[in-house]
Amino acid sequence: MNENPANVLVIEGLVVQLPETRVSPAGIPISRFNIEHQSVCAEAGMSREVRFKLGIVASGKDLQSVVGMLSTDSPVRVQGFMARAGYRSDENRLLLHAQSIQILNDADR
Amino acid sequence: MRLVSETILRIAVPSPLFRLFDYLPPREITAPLHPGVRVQVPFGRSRTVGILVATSRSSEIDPARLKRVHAVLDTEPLLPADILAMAQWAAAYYQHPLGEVLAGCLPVALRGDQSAEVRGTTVWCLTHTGIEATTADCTRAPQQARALEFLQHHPDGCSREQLNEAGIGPHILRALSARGWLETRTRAATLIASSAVPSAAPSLNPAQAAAVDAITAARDQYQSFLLDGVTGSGKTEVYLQAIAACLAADRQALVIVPEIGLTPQLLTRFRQRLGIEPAVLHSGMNESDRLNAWLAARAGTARLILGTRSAAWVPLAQPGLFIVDEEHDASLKQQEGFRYSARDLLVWRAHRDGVPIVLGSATPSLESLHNARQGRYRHLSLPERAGVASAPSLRLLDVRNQKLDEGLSPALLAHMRKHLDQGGQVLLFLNRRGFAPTLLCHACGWVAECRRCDAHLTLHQRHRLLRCHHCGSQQPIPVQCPTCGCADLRPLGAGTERVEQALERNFPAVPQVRIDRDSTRRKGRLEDLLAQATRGDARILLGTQMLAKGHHFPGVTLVGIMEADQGLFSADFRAGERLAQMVIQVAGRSGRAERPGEVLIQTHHPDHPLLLQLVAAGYPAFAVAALAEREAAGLPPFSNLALLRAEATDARAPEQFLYAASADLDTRTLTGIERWGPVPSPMERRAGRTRAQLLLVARDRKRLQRLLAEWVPQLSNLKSARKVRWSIDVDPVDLF
Repeated sequence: MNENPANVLVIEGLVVQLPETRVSPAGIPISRFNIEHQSVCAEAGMSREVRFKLGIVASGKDLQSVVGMLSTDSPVRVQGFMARAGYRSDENRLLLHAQSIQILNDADR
Repeated sequence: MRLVSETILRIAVPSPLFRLFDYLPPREITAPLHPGVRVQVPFGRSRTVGILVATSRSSEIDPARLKRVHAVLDTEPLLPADILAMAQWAAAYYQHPLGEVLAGCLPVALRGDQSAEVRGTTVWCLTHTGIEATTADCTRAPQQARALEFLQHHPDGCSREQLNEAGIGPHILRALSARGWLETRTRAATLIASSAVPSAAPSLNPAQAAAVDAITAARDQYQSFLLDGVTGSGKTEVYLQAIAACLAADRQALVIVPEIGLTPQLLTRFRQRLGIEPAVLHSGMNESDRLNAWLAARAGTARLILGTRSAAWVPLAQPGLFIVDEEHDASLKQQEGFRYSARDLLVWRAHRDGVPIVLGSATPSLESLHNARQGRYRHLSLPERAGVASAPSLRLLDVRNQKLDEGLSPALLAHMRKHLDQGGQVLLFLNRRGFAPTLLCHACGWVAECRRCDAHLTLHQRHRLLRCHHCGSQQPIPVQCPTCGCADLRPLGAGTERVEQALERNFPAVPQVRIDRDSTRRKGRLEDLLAQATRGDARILLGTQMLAKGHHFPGVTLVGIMEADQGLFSADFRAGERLAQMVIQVAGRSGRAERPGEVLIQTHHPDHPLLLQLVAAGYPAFAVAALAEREAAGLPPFSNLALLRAEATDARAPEQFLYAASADLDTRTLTGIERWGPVPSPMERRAGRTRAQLLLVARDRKRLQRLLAEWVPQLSNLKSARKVRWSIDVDPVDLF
């Protein structure tokens, strides 16, 4: 394994819950929203439907302009890494921490 | 021991040594010297100022080796016999070197070789241009305009204290001076400015009248009174009438309050009702004013003296009455250096001087209640509120499983709304300043801790700082977690700053003030905020204990105590007593006028016996139960404590010293004395030092005193003592 094992996820979906933004005590904006992903993927040599909701965290000023443009049903492509949702050990929930967010127009879809 | 032809002067010199030093008188002086005068003496390689404590015909030192006093600084004793005796008693009782005790009881201005003369006071006066200036000249500087107007109303100039009281700080004075409007002059100190005609005394209720009668009947003899009066029962009026009787009998009265903050309102009442200007003594004054007040008290020209702890040491020409207000308050005990209790000292002094002393409180300390029960103090109760005020009702709010909005429960918010709608004021008490007591990393659980203390750092959002409330160190808020790098750091728990935000959100139209150490840092700010609160301009008053002590807010109909649980599970045996006193004192802020007050206490432990008892039966019932508990546990006032503390940067040094001190105890008589420790202090690391302590507990005070007198003075001879800072605390008020 690498010294820094891979943790990259790219996913597309529709915004289903508008971002709520907090500001950390040091002044870093932290936005949280959900997307719904729907696709057809191949598995065991057969195609199947995949559908789930995923929580997104977007931290930092750089992502704020695009976060501000999101509305319900905005189609987005988010690239980032996965991390645990909280520090408590019973929390196995993961969230996608965005490094880039792109709002898709029809041509991209 | 050798007899010598000359008188030997036994001098107390400020030094850590537990002994007096013998000197010979200066050659040119032939008249006998009296104890209490200051002398300048050679000491080690330098000169220092000491106080003559006694004269003797013999010395343990070869008279040929004795040095001579350089100079005698006073023609008559600066310290009268009773103060000298009290210093000697206190030095022995609290195990502190007499030289330091005596140096500490003088005003700073007299600790050197300055003459004990009244000094001129500096006053600020307007210049000719200043007198002719108008507020229109400073439209863009409203504070300057206000100061200008104030000074124009005081053509004789104002002292720094007067200006401070008026909320005019040094920066405004500098600004006005820079404009050429203001100058300083030296005015001969007028010690007692007679003021207005005294206003008429209100009529007393029977309990008040009985208290005044008892105190005045004890004139010219020692008697301790415990004036135990619920808040609003008119204790101050009892003080006033007892003082008036004392002044009428041509005696001086001395009043001690625990904090400087409590002096202005008492001053106002004393001025109005007694028609005299009290002399004030506290650490917030400049040296020459303090000296003048001290000299006036000593000369007898000041008839009424009001001060904080250290004023217990002021000499009086004709003492007639001592009063200690809020006698339960822990600030009456000095917590560093010479650790004495101003209250206990003054009781001793009252006995020595043969005058009555009144200890007043709505929530008397268990020590004083015990003394009253034993018949040592006379118990004077004021069980009823004076005038039309009725007692507030106390109720617990169970906040378990409640969704709290920054610490505010839905029930508390609903009650606040109701009282605000009915035109009342609401006081919220939370003894935790800052935004949040903890900053936590949401990703990994890291907590911001002080590098130098065993404590979390408090988040101060407005100043963008993390501050340690124990050592005062501060640092910027980290942008990311130092452990895992996550940016999602979250404030946990609520301090006053955070609650203030929640209140602005919940009651956007209601004006509020927040009163805590952070919001009142600027000079005059506290007075300003308190005035807003008293006038009713602010409808929600949020604050820490600064708000809870002594101030009267007649319009407050609801008091919310946001957290009562901190005191329920503390390691300190006095925590319960403190909590009960705090609850009752805060509750006492409400319902002073015609409207009855309501007090709500949020708790996660609504079944806790202490809270249940306090709410159902009040402080006296709590005190009875608490005293029974203390008796069963053999804790004060049923035993006597002495705490040996040690601290050092070296983590092991404190325990090594305490073990050595403890081993030394083994060689002594320990009958009836228990030894607890050495143990690490409850907060083991503070300001970069490791701390440990050794507690001695004894039923019999005399036994403990005998042991301490043998043991403490030679602790500094222990080898391990050199590596630590150590102190002995007799009758400690807390065990931290």
